[in-house]
Amino acid sequence: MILDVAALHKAFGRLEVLKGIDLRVKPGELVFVIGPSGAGKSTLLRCCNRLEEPTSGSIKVEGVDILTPGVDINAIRRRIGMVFQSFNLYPHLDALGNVTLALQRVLKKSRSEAKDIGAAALQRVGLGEKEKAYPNELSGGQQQRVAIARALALEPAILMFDEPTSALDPELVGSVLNVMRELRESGMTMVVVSHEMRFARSAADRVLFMDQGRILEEGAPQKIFNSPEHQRVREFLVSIER
Amino acid sequence: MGRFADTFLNWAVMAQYAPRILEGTWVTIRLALAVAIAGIACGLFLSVLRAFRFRAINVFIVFAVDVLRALPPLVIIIAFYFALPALGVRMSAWVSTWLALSLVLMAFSEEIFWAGILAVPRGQWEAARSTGLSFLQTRCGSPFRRSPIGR
Repeated sequence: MILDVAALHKAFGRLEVLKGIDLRVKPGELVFVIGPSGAGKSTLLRCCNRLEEPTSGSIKVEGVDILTPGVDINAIRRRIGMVFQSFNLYPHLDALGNVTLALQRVLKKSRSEAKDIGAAALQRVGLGEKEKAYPNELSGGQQQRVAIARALALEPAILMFDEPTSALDPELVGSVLNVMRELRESGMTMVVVSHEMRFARSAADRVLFMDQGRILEEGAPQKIFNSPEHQRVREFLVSIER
Repeated sequence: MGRFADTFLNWAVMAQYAPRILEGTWVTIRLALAVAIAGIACGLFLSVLRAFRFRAINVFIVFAVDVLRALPPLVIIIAFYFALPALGVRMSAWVSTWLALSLVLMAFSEEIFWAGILAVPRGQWEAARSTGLSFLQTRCGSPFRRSPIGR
């Protein structure tokens, strides 16, 4: 198991956002998380690298319990790549600088070594010739691909995508999904929160439906999309088909 | 006109005091450099400390900074040089001036760096943290580049 989440609870004050989540992700698996807004999807991802502190439960990444007091969370975080809805690039650094910052500061790579790795990562997301471009000179799709390269460069064990295409213009979504598809084919383990159902159908190994802090239903995409057990899932799928 | 020139353009008097004025200028330059270094360094340190958001420490920082920004620097200098000796703390004129002005600059620069820290969107912290940069790395790198002083 790359990721093993058990009985995860998270409350913000009196608001319970996660009410006991169990999730196991095998190497090379692409797990897709869908559900209405407020279901706790983002919070689940953010708990997995402790951007949010879980209230209770256990989270193991590559067998290491990341909630143990005194655990080196920074070492674990670089094993978990994170891609955000709003890209979150550093605006004062160019594309290559965004990708190499953590390589130099965290992994203590030399400048030239970091540059090589960073250039390769940008190449991988199809932005080899955009090394010198600053985030504000890139389209949303390109920015998001830089963000993916930034996560990839650290050679994470698992990549988490938090609505990676929700902030993009429709015609730019494809470029990001193509990169994600290529990553999946290369065997990257991924957890994706997204509303790109067509992508889920064709690329996901497993789809989770979350509602009100619980996993209501999970299974192969064909099962979830074609014959869901719960009325709630059916309603949701209809509502987003429009 | 003769009296005016005698009072304000008296070359003999000017020549007599010019060396002392130059001496004073040199003192001012050295003092300014020492104040700038100490004040900005301490201000940066305090703003980073404040970013950890320990309640007790922050109450103290905010209080100290507000007081130091509100008091006229001259009052602080005079208090250090003339009042503190009554409490048994004796400083030379140079040290008391340096200390007083450094504290004032510390207070102002802390606010400037703090503004820089607040100006960085939350998502950037999260991106930095999720690539494994430590708390200090994320707080020290960005504020300096983004605050009005660092730019």
